Amino acid sequence: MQKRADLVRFFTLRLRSSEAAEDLVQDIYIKLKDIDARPINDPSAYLYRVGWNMMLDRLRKQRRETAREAEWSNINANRIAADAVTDEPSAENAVAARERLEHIVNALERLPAQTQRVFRLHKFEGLSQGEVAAKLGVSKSAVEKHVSAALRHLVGLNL
Amino acid sequence: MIARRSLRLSDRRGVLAFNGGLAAFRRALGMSRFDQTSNAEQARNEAADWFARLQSDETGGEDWIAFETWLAEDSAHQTAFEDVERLWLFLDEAVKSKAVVPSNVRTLGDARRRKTWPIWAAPAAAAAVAAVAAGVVVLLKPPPAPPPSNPGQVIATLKGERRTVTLTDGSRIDLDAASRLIVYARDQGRRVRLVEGQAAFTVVHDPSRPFSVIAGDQTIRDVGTTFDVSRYDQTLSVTVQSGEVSVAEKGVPVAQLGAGEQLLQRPGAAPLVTRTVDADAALAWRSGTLIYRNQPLRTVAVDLNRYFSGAIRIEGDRTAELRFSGVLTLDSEDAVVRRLQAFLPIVATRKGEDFILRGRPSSR
Repeated sequence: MQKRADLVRFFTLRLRSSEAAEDLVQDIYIKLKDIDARPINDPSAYLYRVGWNMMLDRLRKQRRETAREAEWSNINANRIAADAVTDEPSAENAVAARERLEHIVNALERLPAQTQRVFRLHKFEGLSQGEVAAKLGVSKSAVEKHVSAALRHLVGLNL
Repeated sequence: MIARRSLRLSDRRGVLAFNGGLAAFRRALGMSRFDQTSNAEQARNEAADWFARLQSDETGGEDWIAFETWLAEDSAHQTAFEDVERLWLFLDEAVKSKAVVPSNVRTLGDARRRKTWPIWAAPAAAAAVAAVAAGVVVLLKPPPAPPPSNPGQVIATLKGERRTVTLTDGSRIDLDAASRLIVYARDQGRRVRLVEGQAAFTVVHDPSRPFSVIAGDQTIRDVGTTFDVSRYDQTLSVTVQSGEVSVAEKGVPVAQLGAGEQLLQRPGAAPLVTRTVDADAALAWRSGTLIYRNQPLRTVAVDLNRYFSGAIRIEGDRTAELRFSGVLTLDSEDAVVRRLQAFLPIVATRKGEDFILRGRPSSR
């Protein structure tokens, strides 16, 4: 129960909402009930990890919904017959997103080759940091440092 | 008795003199524009470090706690982290919608990737190829920052364990049992966050790199000194053995403490209490001794339960309020309980590993 309180505190801080945090932690425990096998070496880290991944999934879903809402409001404003709603952003948003992505790709190319390699494998090919380390024959902490250096660079450009 | 100096906002003059002028005061509060810019940049860098750490496969329980601590420290940290997260989620969407595909890094030599090259990204990539072919290196921004610093080192003790850590600047931290703190070494300052428990700090003075201890909302800043900070059950206490420290709450200076002074804050937003204490006694735990002067047995039991595996339980309110004065050497639980029985009208009963203390009937 102490652990539960810790998780709620953590996610309240992270999500800036105790309601959303309670909700998330509730779902962590529901999810754990369905899972028989659990690592026993660091159970507390495991709870955080499960919660963290669920949180990211929710944020992704929220973004899609927001994009959809924006699209709807566009359509209504322009009095264009509404088509089926898809996950694709509206044409206007798509242009902006594409430009932003282009900037990011350009910015990535200014990074040292190894940092680019690591970041692309991790982020674009979906390899875990451990898998990237194995593939490139470097340590996991080196991979973490490259990922961090790439993020520092990209977020610093305010793209 | 040493004069107390509890400061309110209207008393800032005293703080200014203490800190060495307005500029230093503004700096301390992060008010100058320069500091704001560099702080934002630092927050961004730390946010990127944290994001990478939390994405790694080996995030341990302590990492999550250290991350929470960092996040709670400053609202700028939260904003910076959300910026990194937004970037990350944006890239997720790009990957999912196939707008961006694996790799145009040729050195990987994977032909499969080139086939799925995004059409819209081709001009940019072509430009990059052209630049490389011409032997031109395009560097619009300075090279990326050196490998990220450690986001903070966690030092923790188990029940009954005591640790002494010497920092690279020569400052020393004694960490009491069942305590946890995080050390952040930075260019412009040395910072320690006491997450829980008790620690004593012997600080080597360096005016260019102030040493601060953060405990809850309070920040304790030293001027070359030895002091003790404890944080149990939301009760914060700061005791100065030598030198002076200033205490700020949410960035606002609230008190200055000299040798032999102690600041106490109990939960429930009670006002800060400053009082004169025997600082040597308060810091005696460093040498494995607890010194009490007229303290309730309940306080003694709480302390002892940090040091020994067998729990010490008290039965009866009267027993809990019995006053104890004396020196307890923390050699063994049996011996300590024996000494308590010798000093107080109590009977100790062993129950498995634990001890139950009861007031003797004759003490009524």
